[in-house]
Amino acid sequence: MIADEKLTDEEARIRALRRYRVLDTETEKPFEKIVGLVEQILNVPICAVSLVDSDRQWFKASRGLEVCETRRDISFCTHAIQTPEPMIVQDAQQDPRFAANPLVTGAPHIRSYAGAPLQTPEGYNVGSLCAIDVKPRAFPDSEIAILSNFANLVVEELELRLAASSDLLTGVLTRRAWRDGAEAEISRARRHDRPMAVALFDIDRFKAINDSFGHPTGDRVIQAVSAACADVLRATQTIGRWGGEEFAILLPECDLSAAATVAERCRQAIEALEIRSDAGAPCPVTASFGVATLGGPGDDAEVLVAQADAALYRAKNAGRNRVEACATA
Amino acid sequence: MDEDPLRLAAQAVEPLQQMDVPPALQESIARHQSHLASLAASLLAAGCEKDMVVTSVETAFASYKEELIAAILALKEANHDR
Repeated sequence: MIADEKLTDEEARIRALRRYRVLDTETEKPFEKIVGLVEQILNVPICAVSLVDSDRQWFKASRGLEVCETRRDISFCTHAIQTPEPMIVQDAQQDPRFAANPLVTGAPHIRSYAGAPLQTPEGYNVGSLCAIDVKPRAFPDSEIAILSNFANLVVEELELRLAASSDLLTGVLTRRAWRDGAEAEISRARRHDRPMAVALFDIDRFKAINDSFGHPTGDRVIQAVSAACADVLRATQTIGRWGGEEFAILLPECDLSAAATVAERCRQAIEALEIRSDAGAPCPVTASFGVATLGGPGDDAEVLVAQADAALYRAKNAGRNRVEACATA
Repeated sequence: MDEDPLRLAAQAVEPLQQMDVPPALQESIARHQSHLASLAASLLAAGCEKDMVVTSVETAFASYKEELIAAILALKEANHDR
């Protein structure tokens, strides 16, 4: 049984969901195959991998549904993620929670529901694998066990992707995964005419840290720095390891001023770190930042990072441990 | 036909023996194999035909395997970038 706090800590739950970076992604075979098997084995007209976002449920894969998302306040899966065990509704018309629900009174006319939580290894229910019928139905324990096993397979697919996109030392995104996310965000920002920015930072005098304190301490510095930044970033702001001691931060909905403010918060968080070498010697750490915003139509992630890198270069030349903005991006 | 769910899951994941899997993904494979065994057991317990059990386990594994290969390649590329 997972701790109650994991079921009620909505902010951490949303963070766990967004960590998978699966929302609003394209149709993918593994999830399609799983809902196909659930449809066939449980003989239901509707089933879905439903991910419960802050204000909606979004379907990564589904059968028998004509929409890719619904409002969260009417979703059955919102109820399913509030319990550690699968939720079963034998007849929605007889259940006061759902009798007047528009998904019951109108299309797709849900009458019975079984939802197995998609529970992360940390214990957060990020969504549910649900099987739905348009007539009253008792889901026997044997079917619920099957549904739960498929739910575990869904989570394992998500975990596999996460492992592939995570830097082994720090757990933040790999360069490739960060760049893929940045390209998607650039497209979104252009489509909706919204601002976005990138911050690039580099740990100051990292070679000297390695030379003075040894590589194990250097690795700890890299881990502490990335964790300190991740702590001050919002759920939509993603950090990736660009290489060595260099990191990139994706800042959706940020103009240059907002991006510089976020970068400054990260800089202060890094400066406040108290790291000691294996021998116990203090190991002060600072970092220099460059920020750039989305500009011309030809900008891609590499261009944006190059512009932030130019600003970072200025920060280094101006004495390090500071934030510089690239105004011409 | 074999009705031992553990053996069914082990047979499904057998092709992985030939893969050079990075340590970061080995835990995922172990969990996946365990989930497949549980799935096979629950399908058998529900009275599913053995063919259906084998097909379900193999289908669930096949898509995982594709993702696993992509993950192995991504991790190797990331290590190369370091």
